[in-house]
Amino acid sequence: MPTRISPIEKFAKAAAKCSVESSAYGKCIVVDYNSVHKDKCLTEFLRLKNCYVVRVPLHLSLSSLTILQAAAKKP
Amino acid sequence: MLNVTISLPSIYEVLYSTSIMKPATFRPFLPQPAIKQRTCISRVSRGYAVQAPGNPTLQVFNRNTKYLQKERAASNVIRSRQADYLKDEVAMRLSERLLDINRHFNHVLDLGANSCNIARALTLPDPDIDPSKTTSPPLSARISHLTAADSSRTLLYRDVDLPYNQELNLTRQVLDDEERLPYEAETFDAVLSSLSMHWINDLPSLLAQINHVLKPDSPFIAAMFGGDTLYELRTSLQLADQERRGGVTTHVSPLADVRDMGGLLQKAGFKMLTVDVDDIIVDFPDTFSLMRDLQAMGESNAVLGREPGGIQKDVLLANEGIYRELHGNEDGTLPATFRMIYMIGWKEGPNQAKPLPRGSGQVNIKDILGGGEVK
Repeated sequence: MPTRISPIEKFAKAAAKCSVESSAYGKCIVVDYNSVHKDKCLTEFLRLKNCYVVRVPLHLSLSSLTILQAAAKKP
Repeated sequence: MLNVTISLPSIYEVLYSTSIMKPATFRPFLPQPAIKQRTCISRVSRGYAVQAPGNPTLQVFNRNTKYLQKERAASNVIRSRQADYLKDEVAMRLSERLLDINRHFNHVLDLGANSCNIARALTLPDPDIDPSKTTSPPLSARISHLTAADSSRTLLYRDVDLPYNQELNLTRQVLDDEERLPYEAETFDAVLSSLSMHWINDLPSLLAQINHVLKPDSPFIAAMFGGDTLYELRTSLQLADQERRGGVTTHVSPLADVRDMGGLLQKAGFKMLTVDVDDIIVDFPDTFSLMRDLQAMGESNAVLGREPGGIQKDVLLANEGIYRELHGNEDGTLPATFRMIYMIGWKEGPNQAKPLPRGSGQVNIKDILGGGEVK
């Protein structure tokens, strides 16, 4: 029997595969971190999340996917 | 032999009779005051929020949550031991400070012992780096009896089967509440505490209690997380919260500062204070392993006003990118700073060395060091 992998480990593995998007998002925040407001880097974050959702195991990604679709529907 | 008995009723009778008997009063003969009726300046009655004696304490941490976190962390013995690197290191640095005190201690208290990290550090061989001595005995040889007290039973008894337990006289004691010490006055020859006082709500009260249970002229030596501990995680989570959710919430505890500790120790009655700081920076591969290690240490967030249910996934994902950009090392690792405040305070005792009065110095330090220019 394989050892049980905790959800956070799966999460970490999936997030590690999106280092390019993650770095782009980080740069967008850090460039002016004194004036961060809600959805300041929304496009970068959605790109990061899109990458993450594709790589994460299915049962973890479902909830994220619905949130992502809801976010995409917003004008 | 004289047998003198004083009967109590007779005293009562005397008191009673004097209170009944009206003494002659001179008031009718005295001049009348100009204002007959005393005016009341303010008739607004003030309501106090707390009527219990003593100062009301501000509750910051949920002690029960902290207890549950420690129990949970310790129940996974392997993970808990893996994450003990920080507590072992600090316990070692803390017990090294005992080397400076040339004394034998009969009864020592380890308050907030976690998994008895101090007891293990005390049994390590050869703590002295003196090259003239080939080997020196472990510090535990100087201690007759060590009481390790903690509120979490599972964590306290985690390593009860390890061999170091036989090398010193160690008693484990589970406390109901670490903020209320169940000891008599002047019980201990020294009190040690390593990395647990940062979860105490009422630090001034605990320090006063520690001072109370110490024998006169005995030291209190402690280490706790302070000030800038985990500032990287604190700032990047704040930025992630701000951008994703439009506001911030507490993820990292408020911690005491070095300056605060000096004042608090002094207020609690300790003398000859020494407070210093020491940074330990640990590199982690990613933020998730940092947070998992914190959880395994039993150091998860236990602030009263925290959000239930942990950090949102979106914020975690955002935090990873921000942490790496803002604080990341060049080799791709993420540093996490742990700032330790070490403090030593002595309970006041007779024949204790005291600082000289201000201005009593006879020698100018400039004459000894020479010059006076800062290079």
